[in-house]
Amino acid sequence: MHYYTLMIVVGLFLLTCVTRAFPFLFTAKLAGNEKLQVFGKRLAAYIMLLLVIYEITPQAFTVYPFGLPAIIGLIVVILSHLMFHKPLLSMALGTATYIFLNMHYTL
Amino acid sequence: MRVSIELKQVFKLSIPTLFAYFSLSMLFTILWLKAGFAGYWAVIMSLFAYSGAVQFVVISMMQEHASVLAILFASSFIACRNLFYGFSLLDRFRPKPKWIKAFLMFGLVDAVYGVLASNPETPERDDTKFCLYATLLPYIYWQTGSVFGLILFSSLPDIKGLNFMLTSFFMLLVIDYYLVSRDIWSLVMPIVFSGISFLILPGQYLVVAIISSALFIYLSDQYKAKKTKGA
Repeated sequence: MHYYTLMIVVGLFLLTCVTRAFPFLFTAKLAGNEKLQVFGKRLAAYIMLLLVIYEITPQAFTVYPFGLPAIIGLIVVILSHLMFHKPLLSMALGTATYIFLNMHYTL
Repeated sequence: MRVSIELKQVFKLSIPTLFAYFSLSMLFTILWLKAGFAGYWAVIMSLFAYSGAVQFVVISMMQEHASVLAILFASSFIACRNLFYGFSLLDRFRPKPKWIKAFLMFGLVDAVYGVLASNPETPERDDTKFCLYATLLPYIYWQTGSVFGLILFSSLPDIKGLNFMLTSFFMLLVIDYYLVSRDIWSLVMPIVFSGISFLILPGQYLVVAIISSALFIYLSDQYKAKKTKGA
């Protein structure tokens, strides 16, 4: 376990160094490549939604209660975020909903 | 001790970051401990990886016992937006002392980029100090938060489902992106790709879905470029 975590930390440290120092190493070639910049931003957004699904795990949708606590929790997050625009509040409301529904369904 | 004007200026600019980074990295440590990993690794990871979204992704993948390579692969896609921050700061960082420059590059996170990009060099202040403080303060906030997570965790009641915080956090980023881009595909395709890849390769479906998304974005960009050229 420690070896596994150590490898990940070392890998992430290198990744952070490489990605952040990148423009300073390859100045001329990629400077101001707007296409690549837009691509990076779009991909990051797609990955975030992939992670939402990853967090819930697709298995959850195949068995009772069919991922409903998570879906309703996410709807609460979305509505709260659109209405109040307070990230921490939205996260708290969504999580509270999820915990409540989860308890109710599993009992 | 006299506080320099640069530090004062940077501190004022960094107050929103103080709240955001402190609470976020505290949440990181709490979720890390919740996943059952040793606390000091959370602190070490914050010190060396210092990358918000990536650190959260790593928790969820480590929980599923994903391989080191799969974790780094997925992380590199998320970290790749950082590839571009430096470009607009090339000339500004060049004359700085070597070690300071190295730290400025390492610590160039979203919030720092925002502050530096919106506050260009002016003759009234020492720009080396300004850049250094603007990078150092968010780093300190992040580290303090991750240590506080250790303290807070022990006083937290054990509730099942608290890790939904992480899911909500990713959801917020999805909403924010959609509100700016109005890119409806960003809401549809990840669901489609996750479903298909899960059916085909349940063990590695996240990585497959990331590659599919990258391909889809690339191809749809090409298609759009062709269409505008033809019109």
